[in-house]
Amino acid sequence: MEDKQAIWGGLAAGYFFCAAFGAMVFAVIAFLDIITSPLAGEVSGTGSFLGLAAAGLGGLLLLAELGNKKRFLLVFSRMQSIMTKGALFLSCFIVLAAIYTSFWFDIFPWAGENAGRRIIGFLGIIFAVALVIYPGLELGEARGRSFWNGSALVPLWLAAALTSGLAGVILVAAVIGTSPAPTIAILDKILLSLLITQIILITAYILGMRQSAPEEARRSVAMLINGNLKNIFWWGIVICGHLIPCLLYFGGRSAGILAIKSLFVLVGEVCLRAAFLQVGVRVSLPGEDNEWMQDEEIAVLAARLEQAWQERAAWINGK
Amino acid sequence: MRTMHWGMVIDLRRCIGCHACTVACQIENNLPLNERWNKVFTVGPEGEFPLVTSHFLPRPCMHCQDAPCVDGCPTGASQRRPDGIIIVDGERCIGCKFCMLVCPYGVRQFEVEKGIVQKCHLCYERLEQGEMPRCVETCQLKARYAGDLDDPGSEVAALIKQANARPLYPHLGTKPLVYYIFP
Repeated sequence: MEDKQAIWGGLAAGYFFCAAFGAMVFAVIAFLDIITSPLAGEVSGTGSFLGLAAAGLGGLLLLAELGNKKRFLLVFSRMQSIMTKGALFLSCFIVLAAIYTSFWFDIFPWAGENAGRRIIGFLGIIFAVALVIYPGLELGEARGRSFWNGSALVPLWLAAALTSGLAGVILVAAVIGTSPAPTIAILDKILLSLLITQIILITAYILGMRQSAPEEARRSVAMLINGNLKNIFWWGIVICGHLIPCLLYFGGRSAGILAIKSLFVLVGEVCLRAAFLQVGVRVSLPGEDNEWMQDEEIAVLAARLEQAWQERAAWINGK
Repeated sequence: MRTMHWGMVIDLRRCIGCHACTVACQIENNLPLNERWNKVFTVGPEGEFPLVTSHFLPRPCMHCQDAPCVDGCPTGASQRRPDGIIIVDGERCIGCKFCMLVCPYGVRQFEVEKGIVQKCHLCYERLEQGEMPRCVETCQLKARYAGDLDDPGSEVAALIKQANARPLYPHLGTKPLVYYIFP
């Protein structure tokens, strides 16, 4: 019986967060640009660069997760696979985000070309949304891991991504000193509504899984609420990710408060992805709990045996 | 010529949990000690004395007809052969471990040194030469049978019919080709 999902670890969780964060920071920036918000010119260059950098970092984490990195191009070879689709979304998004970002820097001759930039931005938003949606579908393919099979996983991850994107843009605005802008006040209110939506979605998802028939889904919920992932759930997701940011709304809208609030939201989003990824345990096979020896113990035994053979060989050969 | 549709029947009433199939598989595939494509689990003991029961459950790859590992593989390294056997092409595997994640039976193993995923392939090379898989050949208790599931006259088809053999967790919808005769 798995005590947590250990096949995809921190690198995969990091990729899911970075890709979603980058994609949604970009999407918010490009959306503000398309609707010709006055804020766009002030935060767009930095914001879209942040989105591009985060998605690029996510791509590197994904590459690091591969066992055979030299063959990574093969990931594009089978379009029926959800992973291939995801890799394609990520690649297209990075290319579009890079082109879009270049429009905001004067070193490029096409800088300031509004129509072209907005068209690229619109295309980028489409790939950003696809990039955010596909991980929920990807995890949903694991039939033996019922915790991921809930239909609300995709909306939850979409809401989480949008929350982190908004927090990212507000953070950029707070850092570069444009936080007093009216658009930021609106984004801040949308962030609050998204946080509340997310609380409802997470609660509904967990309660739904708790009531569901599959044993492993109930085991996953128990791990999250009072098991070995309770700290990341209660401290990371609930307190840092939701409670503290909501309380900070009573502290005004100064740049410092906005920056701190955004950072707490981002910590919560990292924890959400890490926890939901680890908690997806596989259905337990009959007798699997009684494994006479764990793989790690066998590895230690094998190493000891090998050492004993080496010593014996050295003794026989008189070395 | 008709294509074979390979399948396996494991008679849990006969298995004594000697792990000979596990070791034979390791020898056949030159696996390290800590890598077992064919584990044997101990189910139970359950109940209260004197009504105590226990049995063993060997777990090879189920060679699912609707295999999530094949559907999810981004490179096509996990493939279904025409005879139903699921194999991994080590030359195409990038070690993304998605197949390990989606396999509900946990049969796939990551080979750290090669950076690829491997698993039981029902000794298809032996089958092509007219031999039985190594685990079937090794089992002294005759708890394992391999044969053509489409041939009504085959031993496996007869066992499935007579002993009401059924796959493990059929509700997952993966349509495994490995059937168990439960005690």
